[in-house]
Amino acid sequence: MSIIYILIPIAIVFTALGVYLFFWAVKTEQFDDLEKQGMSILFDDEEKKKELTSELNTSKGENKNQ
Amino acid sequence: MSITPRLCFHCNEPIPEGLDLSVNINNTIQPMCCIGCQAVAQTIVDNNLTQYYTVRTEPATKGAELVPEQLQKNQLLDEAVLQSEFIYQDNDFKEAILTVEGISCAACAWLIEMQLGKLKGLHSVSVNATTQRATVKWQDDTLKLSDILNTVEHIGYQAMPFKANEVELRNKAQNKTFIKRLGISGILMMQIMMIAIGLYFGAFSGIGENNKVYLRWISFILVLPIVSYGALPFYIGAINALKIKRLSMDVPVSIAIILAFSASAWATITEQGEVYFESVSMFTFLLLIGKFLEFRARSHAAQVSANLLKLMPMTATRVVINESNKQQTTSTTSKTTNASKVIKEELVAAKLLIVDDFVLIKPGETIPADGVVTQGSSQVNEAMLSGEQLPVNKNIDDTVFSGTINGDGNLTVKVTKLSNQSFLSQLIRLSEQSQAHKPKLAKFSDKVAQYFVAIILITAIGTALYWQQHLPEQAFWITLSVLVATCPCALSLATPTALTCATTRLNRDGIMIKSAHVMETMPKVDTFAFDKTGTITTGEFSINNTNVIASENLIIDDVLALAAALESHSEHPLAKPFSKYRDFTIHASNVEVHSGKGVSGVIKGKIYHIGKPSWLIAKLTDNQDYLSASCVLICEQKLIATFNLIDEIRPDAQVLINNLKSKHQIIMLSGDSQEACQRVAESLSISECYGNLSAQDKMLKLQSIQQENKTVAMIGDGVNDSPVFGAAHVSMAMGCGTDIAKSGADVILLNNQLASIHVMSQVAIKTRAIIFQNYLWAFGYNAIVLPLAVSGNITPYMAVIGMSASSILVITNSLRLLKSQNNN
Repeated sequence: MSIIYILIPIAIVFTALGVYLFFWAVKTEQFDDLEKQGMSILFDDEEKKKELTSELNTSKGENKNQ
Repeated sequence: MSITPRLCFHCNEPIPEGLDLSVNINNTIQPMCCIGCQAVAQTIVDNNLTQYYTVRTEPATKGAELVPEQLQKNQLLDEAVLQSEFIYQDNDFKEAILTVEGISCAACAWLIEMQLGKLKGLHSVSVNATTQRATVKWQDDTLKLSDILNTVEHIGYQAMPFKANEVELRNKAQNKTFIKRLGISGILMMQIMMIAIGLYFGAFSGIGENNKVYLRWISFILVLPIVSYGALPFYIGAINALKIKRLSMDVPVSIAIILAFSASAWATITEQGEVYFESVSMFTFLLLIGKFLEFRARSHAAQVSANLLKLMPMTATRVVINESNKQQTTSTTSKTTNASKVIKEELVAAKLLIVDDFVLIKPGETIPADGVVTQGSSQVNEAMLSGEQLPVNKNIDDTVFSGTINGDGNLTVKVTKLSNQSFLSQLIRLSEQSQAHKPKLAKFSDKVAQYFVAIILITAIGTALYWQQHLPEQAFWITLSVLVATCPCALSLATPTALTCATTRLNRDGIMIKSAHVMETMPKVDTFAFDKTGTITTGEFSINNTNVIASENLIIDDVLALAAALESHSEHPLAKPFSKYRDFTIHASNVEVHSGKGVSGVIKGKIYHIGKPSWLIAKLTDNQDYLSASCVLICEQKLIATFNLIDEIRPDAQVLINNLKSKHQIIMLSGDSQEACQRVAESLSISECYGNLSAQDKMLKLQSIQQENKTVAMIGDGVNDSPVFGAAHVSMAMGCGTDIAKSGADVILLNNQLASIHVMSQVAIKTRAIIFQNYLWAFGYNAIVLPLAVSGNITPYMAVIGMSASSILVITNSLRLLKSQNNN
């Protein structure tokens, strides 16, 4: 059982890291608008769109075959 | 009825007959219902933002036609004097918060961000779909604020600068710390629980003393941030309550947390007894959730209602008069003022007007300041200030008030009072005063807390004394288990969870609860007082009866369409009800609006007149019988129809009054004439009705009713209702009402439906029942566990299971309130 003397402190370090990241997320206002962020995945990014159009066109044929 | 009308692709509203507008969206021709929608949709297409249409979950709001004057008014906001109120300057950048009207789903937020992002000079934009606000930052030398506002307007939303008030800024900061406290308590609670499981197993199957001490110390360290940081709001609440010599629910909660923690810490250090770290952490976490949800529901309501208050400065068209002539005009005989002296008109903010300024007020505009008419005549709608339904005639030397709306004539007004001394500001001050003396009923949960604290403390002392004599070495630990087991967890969750669920459920129906006390006060209300104009009635007229006199193949629909074509040119309240009969294939030319009389015009080669019978029938001697009609239509000197218009009573008013009448007293307080009030009261069978009341009279009347030990709810919409709102136990404002009324009210009926009041009262009664059940269970649980604890048979894991089980039960019970039941 002596393993817990090492594992629990490690777990506490991870917990501390988790708490730190959580505070950072709150500070950068990531919890302010939960609605919009969920929706954002549905929209294409403007810049990426142009780059990806050519790639998409080539891969479209493959997708249909699948 | 007839076939289902075609719907607008943009806003989903029916398309009027004879209108053919469309926009090509993604290679499909989509129909549009008005020029406004068409323009908005076209802008969206032109900017390659059609993704909006594929992703959106709600139809857009109807696009308004862009009025050049509105766009011009936005330019006023570029002035530094006005900007100082709401703008944050950061080197070359300016930052402002805008409230955006018309955001219906997250796709709207995306649309606005994309469109604004294209502007040159814009540094950043972030739209929050939940709060319906946008934060924009821009470079002031390349971009103007008015450009930003206009861009938003072009895609069908109305943006206004907004300044968060003190309460809201505090709420925002509080929201963040709340999430932090919740997060830290939640994350650490999980760790402590994990370790607690180890300790429980140890208790059953044996555990090495070293391991046990080690696990206890770890829990002790982990629980420290929860007790010190997470539970801080409870201590603060308890101290605040004790300072004013009261007991609130926070007091027993704080006692439980502090005692259980200190005793467990003592047990850890001295390596004896039991530890309750997991109870402490879970207890704190659960209560924080309850407190947080309650806080969020309330701050959401505050946010929505703050969005309703626009910071759009009232504007005025100031007439600048030649210096030499100014001498004459400032003299008391203002009649000498003449239009010939006018050299320049300029648009200024109303609050910059000073006494003796001259302002020009165009038809349909809001009067910017108190003053005296020096030129022109018009009819002014003073409903918001006085409750009077019909416009008041204003001629030279008549007084006009700031905030009222001009009818169909041009007026030149000499300002007589500064904006902070106007009649409107006086009313606002009066309402603030009455708000300060708002009657309050004691909170039920605080009453419960008093008894609870007393019972627990007496039991704990009793237990300690008893075991001190029989088993001295165990006395402390048994007393501690009494305190932990009876932790008022479920008890403190009883009210907040129920209130939160009820508030959320009502929000969904468009009923915003702004004050926390509303749900508790509502079931006690025994008298409902209603305002008339704008509350029981819509504040508009409707066509009650159409009488076709000349029967030249004319049916009612034709006559109404003819009338609508003419009346669409008038701003008069009596002209509005015709608009829904508009047929876009009929057009009137050579239209002339005769102020206070009616409209004339040519349709299909014939001259038509519509308007007051006294104006038109005087010319036609043979038709004297029809003088009693509200409005008549004449074609080529021949009477063809009469219309009877009535003050339109809200469709759900009768149902509401019938529902309330059995158990409540209903009264009507109005500023309109006694006769008009009586008419409405009779048709709705309201027995008590008081007319001709000023804002102060209304307040005094309500206070005299309260002296008879009545709990009164007041429902209104106008500025003249705001003082009485402060006096009422519960005040409700219609969503379409004035900003001042809405900011003073406890409840805002965003859906503008009177039936909501009945829904609210039902939900409030149900909430009271649920709260009662919650308390019953919470006390029941404590009653069961108390004897076990007193007899020394409670172990830590039993305390945790009992506490969480009863809390979950209470929360589940409260969740029942979320279900909306439509009994009608």
